[in-house]
Amino acid sequence: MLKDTSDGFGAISRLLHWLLALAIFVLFALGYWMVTLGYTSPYYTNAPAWHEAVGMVVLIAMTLRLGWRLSNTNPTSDHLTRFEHGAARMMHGALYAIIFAVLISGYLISTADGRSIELFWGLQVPSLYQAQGIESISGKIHRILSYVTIALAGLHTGAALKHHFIDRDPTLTRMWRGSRPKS
Amino acid sequence: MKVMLKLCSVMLAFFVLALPVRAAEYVIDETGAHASINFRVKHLGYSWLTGRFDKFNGTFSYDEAKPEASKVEVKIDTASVNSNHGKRDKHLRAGEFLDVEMFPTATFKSKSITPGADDKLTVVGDLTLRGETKEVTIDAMKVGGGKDPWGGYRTGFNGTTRLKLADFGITFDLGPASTHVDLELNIEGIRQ
Repeated sequence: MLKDTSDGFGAISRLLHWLLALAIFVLFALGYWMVTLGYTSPYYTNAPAWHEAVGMVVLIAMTLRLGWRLSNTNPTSDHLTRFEHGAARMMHGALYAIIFAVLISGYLISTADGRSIELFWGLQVPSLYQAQGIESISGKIHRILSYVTIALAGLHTGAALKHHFIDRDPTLTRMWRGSRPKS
Repeated sequence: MKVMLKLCSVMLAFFVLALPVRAAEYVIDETGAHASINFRVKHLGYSWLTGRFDKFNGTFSYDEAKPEASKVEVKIDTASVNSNHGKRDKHLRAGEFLDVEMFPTATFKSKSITPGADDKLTVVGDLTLRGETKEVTIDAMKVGGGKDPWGGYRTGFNGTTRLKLADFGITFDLGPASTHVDLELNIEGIRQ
């Protein structure tokens, strides 16, 4: 099944979820490392270029994912308590909002002077908004919110593992294998 | 009553005499941007990277008859650094370079001005940058001065100096060719 059902997530949602999780983690690690590089490091210009290109692909994928989520049936959460359901909704909302904020602030760092971001195969993401000084403010937002993203992702992972190993409910399996196991 | 009148006329005479003696006070023309603070640093030793500070203000006094009595004072908004590349400017504003959050203003205040031949001037003063105050010498020259077409009076100067980045706590390694920065100052003032 490609589409989500009330029973679990379809292949597209699952693929996007896990690829984005991997890409966001890689972006964080790459970003953390690249700002420590000295001026004469051979990666001084390459590492930020990769970070930017991957970031823009993630921005496109996140937009697709949000669109896909909004246009699909959401799996039911009747195995959750009211509190768990509310907390999960807040966490997912916060993850979407903050990840978008990190991606957009990152885009602004690189494009506030009117330059484009180079993607792969000669593709470019153009600059849409220019303002002198925006790159510094965006940089601060980008750094702080990327740490917030990783902290939220840690909580999100912890909650998924708790549902899987302690509660033994289908929260994690429906994102990993799709539909919940028939009982 | 007569004494008071006498006193008044003496005071008036004093002001009339004093006015031409007072050195001309100029405000640097930032409103019309007929002034610039430019810098250049060698890139890898292969070329010059240039940039400027977009926001600054200042005043100077200059009397053609007594150039040695001149004074100049300039304040620079360090966050206005502009090298025509947003990501580089972001880095230049950060802690490794100008640290603009800690040190939003750089100042220059002249201590002595020595006239030389051909309108040349040697300006010695204190430059405070990134919290460090160092004495610097600016090789300056008067470019010109006179009435402008709009009823004002202007005088302009050009000056250059070279700073060692490490003197101001900037130790980020840009390579052996890039340890110094050249400043070029173009200062046009409008007499007040």
